[in-house]
Amino acid sequence: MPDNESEFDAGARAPEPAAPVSEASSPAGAAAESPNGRHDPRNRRDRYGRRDRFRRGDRGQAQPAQAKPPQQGQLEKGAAPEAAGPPAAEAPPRVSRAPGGDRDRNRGNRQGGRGDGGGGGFSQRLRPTKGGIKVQSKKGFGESWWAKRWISVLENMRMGTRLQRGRTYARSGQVLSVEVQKGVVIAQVQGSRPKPYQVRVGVKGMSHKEWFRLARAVSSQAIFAAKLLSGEMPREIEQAFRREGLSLFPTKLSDLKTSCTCPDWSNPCKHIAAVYYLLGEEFDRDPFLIFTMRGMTREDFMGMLGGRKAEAAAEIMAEEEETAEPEEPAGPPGNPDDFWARKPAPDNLLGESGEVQPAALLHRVGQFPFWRGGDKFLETLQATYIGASQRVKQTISEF
Amino acid sequence: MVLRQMIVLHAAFCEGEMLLWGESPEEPSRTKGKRRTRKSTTNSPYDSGGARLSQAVAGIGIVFDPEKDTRQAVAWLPTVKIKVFPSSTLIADVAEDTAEAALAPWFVTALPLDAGRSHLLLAITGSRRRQGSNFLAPGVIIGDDLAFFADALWFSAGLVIRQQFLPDLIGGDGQYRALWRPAIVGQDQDKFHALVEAMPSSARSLTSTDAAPPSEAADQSLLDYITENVDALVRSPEDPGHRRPQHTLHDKWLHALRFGNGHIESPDPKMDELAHQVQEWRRPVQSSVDSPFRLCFRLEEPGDDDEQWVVRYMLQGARDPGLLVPAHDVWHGNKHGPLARQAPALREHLLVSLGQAASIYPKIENSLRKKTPAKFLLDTRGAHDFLKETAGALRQSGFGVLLPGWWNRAEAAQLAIRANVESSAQMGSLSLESLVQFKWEMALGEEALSLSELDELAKLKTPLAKIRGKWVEVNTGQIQAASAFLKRRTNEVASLGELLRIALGAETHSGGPLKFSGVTATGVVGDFLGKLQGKDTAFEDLAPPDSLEGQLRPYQVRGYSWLAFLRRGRLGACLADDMGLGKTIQTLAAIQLAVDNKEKRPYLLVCPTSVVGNWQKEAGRFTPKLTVMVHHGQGRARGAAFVEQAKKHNIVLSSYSLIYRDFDVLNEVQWAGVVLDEAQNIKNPDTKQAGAARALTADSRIALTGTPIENNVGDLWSIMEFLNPGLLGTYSDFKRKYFLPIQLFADAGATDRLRKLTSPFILRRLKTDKNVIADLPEKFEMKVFSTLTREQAALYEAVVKEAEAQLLMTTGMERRGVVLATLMRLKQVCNHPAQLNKDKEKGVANRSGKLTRLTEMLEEVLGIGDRCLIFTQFTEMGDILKEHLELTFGREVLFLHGGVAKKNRDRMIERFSREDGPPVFLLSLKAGGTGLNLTSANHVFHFDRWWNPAVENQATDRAFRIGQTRNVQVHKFVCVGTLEEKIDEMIEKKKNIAGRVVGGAGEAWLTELSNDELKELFALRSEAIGE
Repeated sequence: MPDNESEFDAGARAPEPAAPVSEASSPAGAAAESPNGRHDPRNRRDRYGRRDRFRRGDRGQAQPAQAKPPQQGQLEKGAAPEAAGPPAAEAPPRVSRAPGGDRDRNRGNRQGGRGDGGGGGFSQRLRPTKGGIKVQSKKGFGESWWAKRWISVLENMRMGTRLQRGRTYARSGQVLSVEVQKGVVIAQVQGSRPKPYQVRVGVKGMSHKEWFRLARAVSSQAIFAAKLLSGEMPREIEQAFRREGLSLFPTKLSDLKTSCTCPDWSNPCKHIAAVYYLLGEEFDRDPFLIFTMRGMTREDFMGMLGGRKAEAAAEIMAEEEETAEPEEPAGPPGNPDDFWARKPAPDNLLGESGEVQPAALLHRVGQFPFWRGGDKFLETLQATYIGASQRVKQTISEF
Repeated sequence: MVLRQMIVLHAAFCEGEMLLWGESPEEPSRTKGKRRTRKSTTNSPYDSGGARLSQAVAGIGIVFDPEKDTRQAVAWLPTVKIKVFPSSTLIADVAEDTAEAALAPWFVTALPLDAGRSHLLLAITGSRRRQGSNFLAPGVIIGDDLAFFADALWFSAGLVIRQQFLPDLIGGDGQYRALWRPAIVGQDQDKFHALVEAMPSSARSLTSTDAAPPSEAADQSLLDYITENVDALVRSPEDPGHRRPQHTLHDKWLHALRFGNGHIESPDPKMDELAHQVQEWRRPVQSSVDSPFRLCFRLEEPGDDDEQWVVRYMLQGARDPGLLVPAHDVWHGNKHGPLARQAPALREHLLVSLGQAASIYPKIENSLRKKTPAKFLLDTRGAHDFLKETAGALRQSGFGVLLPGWWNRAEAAQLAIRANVESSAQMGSLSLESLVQFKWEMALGEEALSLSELDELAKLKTPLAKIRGKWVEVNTGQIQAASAFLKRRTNEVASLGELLRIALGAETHSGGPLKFSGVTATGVVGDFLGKLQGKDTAFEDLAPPDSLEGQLRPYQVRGYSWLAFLRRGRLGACLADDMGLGKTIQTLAAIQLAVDNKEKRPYLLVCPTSVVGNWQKEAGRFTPKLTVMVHHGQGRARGAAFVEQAKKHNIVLSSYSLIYRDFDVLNEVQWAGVVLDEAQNIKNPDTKQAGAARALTADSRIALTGTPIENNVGDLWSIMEFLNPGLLGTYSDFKRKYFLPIQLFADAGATDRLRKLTSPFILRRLKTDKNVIADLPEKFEMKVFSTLTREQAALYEAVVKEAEAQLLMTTGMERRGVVLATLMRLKQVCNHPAQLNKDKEKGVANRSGKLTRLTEMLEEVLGIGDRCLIFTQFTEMGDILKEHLELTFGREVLFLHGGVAKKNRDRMIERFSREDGPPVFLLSLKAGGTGLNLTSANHVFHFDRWWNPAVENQATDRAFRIGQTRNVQVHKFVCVGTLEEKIDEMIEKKKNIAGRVVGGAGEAWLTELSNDELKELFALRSEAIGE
């Protein structure tokens, strides 16, 4: 592994503020791009792009890319690759530029030595995708503190321009699918080759004993379970972890288990970074994701907290429904006395007319996980909520 | 039967679709010769069919092809053997035993309604029902199921307005649907379950085939229906025009949520995964929708030695809000309780809910640092914040909140500004223009606060204070404003009218942060205001005018004194007593009193044409000293002549149509007052007659009505604006401040304010009021005088002319025959032209003064849930009445005549005695005059007369006999100016000997009269004609 961060201190380094991330402010390679370059794939450059072309067709990939059968909870893996843009052969203009950081230069040189023949000039293009997953927020990659904590782990890894590339990938929809499994996240990322790379991101798991200790600590206060269940990560949970000598988030690179099928030997590569950023946004919505990635499902964890598994409770509920007294036939009864007549309806059927929080329910469930639509999910639907509410209110006042 | 044009509209929700169908009486031709068997499904005999369905709804803008657009559906209807039970006995009366009924399939013609059409139909249905009408159009009756769906649509609309919905994606196998699903939580759950209870079975009794009866449970069916509504209402009716390319399934879903009908066809197997993901995404909301409990917060006041308020956590039953399980029991619940087995699930639900609530209020979050949180504590300021802010936020998020009772009545416990009038005990007569001196003072609830007390309160610096054992809200800003206000303004002068508006709550705001809370007053002003609001002292009863003929009952003395009291304050009065309590005599007495007190100017009395004659009669009877002029009909005086004549009378009687047509000349007269009888005639403020009534200048105004106008908010403005202009503000003010909040949102505060504002001007006594019942005789008879229409008058004169000629040429038995035939024919004319001419197919409405009057009176009778008997001698007239009344009121009218078999007769009597039975029972005098016991009626109408009090009394006694618990009103109809009136007068004169003279022999004695006497008897007097 190239780099090791020192033990991460929760308070020592605040995550980056959620400022707009733009190419123009990125440390390397920005000067060569036009202000609008982000929207024009031909302006995109990746210093590994060329090498990719050389290696096209090379089946001997560095990372294993097992074909996995589709599983439940899987996103639309690979739904779009066939829609990828013009073939790479219609070569984008190569732009020569100086190599970046030391490691990169070494890497580049070595690759070059493997038959590139390009003379040190690297060109890159972003292969356009249709319907990839784009970060929804205009600023940052996650609003909540825990999402920012997650992102900061990545951003402290001195990835150089790979980090910036990863952001660009996350914004432009290069990630085609993300599938969350117990213990690992598997994603398809469109690089410059026609065939997407497969990225795996995992976090070091915890032993059963460790989980048990943690559960005991967490169940001492209702707030942990209450917040987690309602979609929020209680701040105090980090302390609870620490008191047990554990850490909720990865703090050093070795806590992460990442891999990518791209030829870049650097880990994390930009593809991993892109997936990582998207996970940041999903953390906003579902704080339980970190538990899942560490091998603990929501149900199992709640079971540990309650001292009794939630499924067991569900079973009991179901059982009770079954053993409940047999209901009367559901269809209407045949007695003509009751058949036609109604009883009075309750008062005030419309409900209170007071101020309505716009799309409160929508915001309560929040962002759709790994949204792949062209329109922003929450903004678009909020407009529908407000429009419908006003339209109906207007209409009924006419009757 | 003749009621072929009648249709009862039904709606049923069937397999995701709204189907409209109708029931109509069976056509005779279809029954004849065709005996159905129940071997297979057949057409319902009462199916209205496409054409009639189309006619019924065309008027409201739903146009369709009766053949192509309808389809055959199967209605599962209660059936005994081969007979199906119709929804209403208006369609048919099935005498079979209901106990044996079972659902059986019948074919009906159904019209599928898309969302747009069904919403239009239901919105109009709902609006008709709120106006108290059961008709969509004449003869088109709103079935209970249709009315039910109108309510369900209203509920759905509320969900959309309050944005209680969330997107969903359902389906499989290539066919999917993007769906806006309602999220029914909190109080909406209570309403939903109440709606399920209210749902008639017929609302879910249709299927597409007769293979199996509908099997869906009522709650599921209703939820499906509401879901369809919400989905349709949320979707924008506009097409986007341009379309974003749909690259991903997410794009497809989002697009289908916004446009079109939401259907997505996609062979992509990943769609199933997306649908699954959507379920996961929805889970936080869906789980609270599905939960049988909701988290509830109960605020409890501090105990006596305690400073702390407590908010306790509970789980509240979603179906039964009275079921409260304290959080403590959920955490530690005993292992054997009824909820023990659900405990883990309940605990998880409690945890999730607390986690959600924590973000609303930090105190909740803090409380969660315990293992088993069950409450949190608040200081007084915190309690105030909770009451003011948090409680509402929690409620809106679907949590239950229980607050102390005094908070809900908080309006009374707020600091407010009050006018204090100290006036002398005698000050001469008061009018609204009188200027009054007063001081401002501050009040908390009822308690007045001095300046020093205010300063004390300000020092407390808590928003809630316990004053004399009661918690009240105090606002430092308000207190300072109040203190400053009091120091700045001390003695003020305003007109009594302005103070009255403050006293009644018409003025709510002083312009600053302070609200008005009314007026306290002593002396004459206090007296006046107190009496007006019915507080403390009542206005004194006045002695009835000496010249009043007849006795005022005690409650009538009150009403008459009240009219006089308001007149002294130049305030308008609405006397809204139940029918039969004597609004007429109270009004006449009040006018007589004014005249006795030297009122020289005339009163204008406006009434419907049908009661002009009645007023004239009653005035002649009760106040013979008052001179009455009828301004009506073709020969009425015009221009200056009218003004001249009017000045010479005490009362000018006119009709609603004339106050508009003759407005210019009417307004030339200086009126002492304007009285509107049947004032609901001006309830619609936009009509010409309403505008004219408001524009008439007069010193005092009285509105008379027997319909409970205070129940219909929309109608109130026009009448109040006539009575007391400006009291309710402009019509658009009124709509905004009262009508819409009350009508749309059942706003209790607005309802209260409106009641407070209007109640001093409305006096309504019911027959059932204790102090009225005591005053009423058990049976009291009234003559109902009505006029003839022009058609009736012409016919009447033709009959008389013919008779005169015949009388000259006949003698003996033949002459007697002519006399009796003529009598008969004249009575028929008085009843209805169609009875004589046998031309009821020309329509019966508006052709007979009697029928018009009867219809008006029945509207009041049925409006307050009373029941009545109507007697007529003529079977043909009974048929006319039955048809007309059924079409007008949409209720079955029973008709017992000589041709009714014993079995049917018994059944009619049994049904009339049932509380939900038909409220109107028509009887022919011969068939129904004796032997029956019909005490569930408390009104008896004699539509035509037998001229034999004994026979009539015998008939009346069907209702007035042992078992009758209410007062019985007897209304005897008489056409003024006709032989009916003359015979009536003769009988009245000879009342004592009437039994002897006219007894037994019916009308035979009339044949003994001489030709001249007969001529006199038959002659039509000019006042007979009402048009």
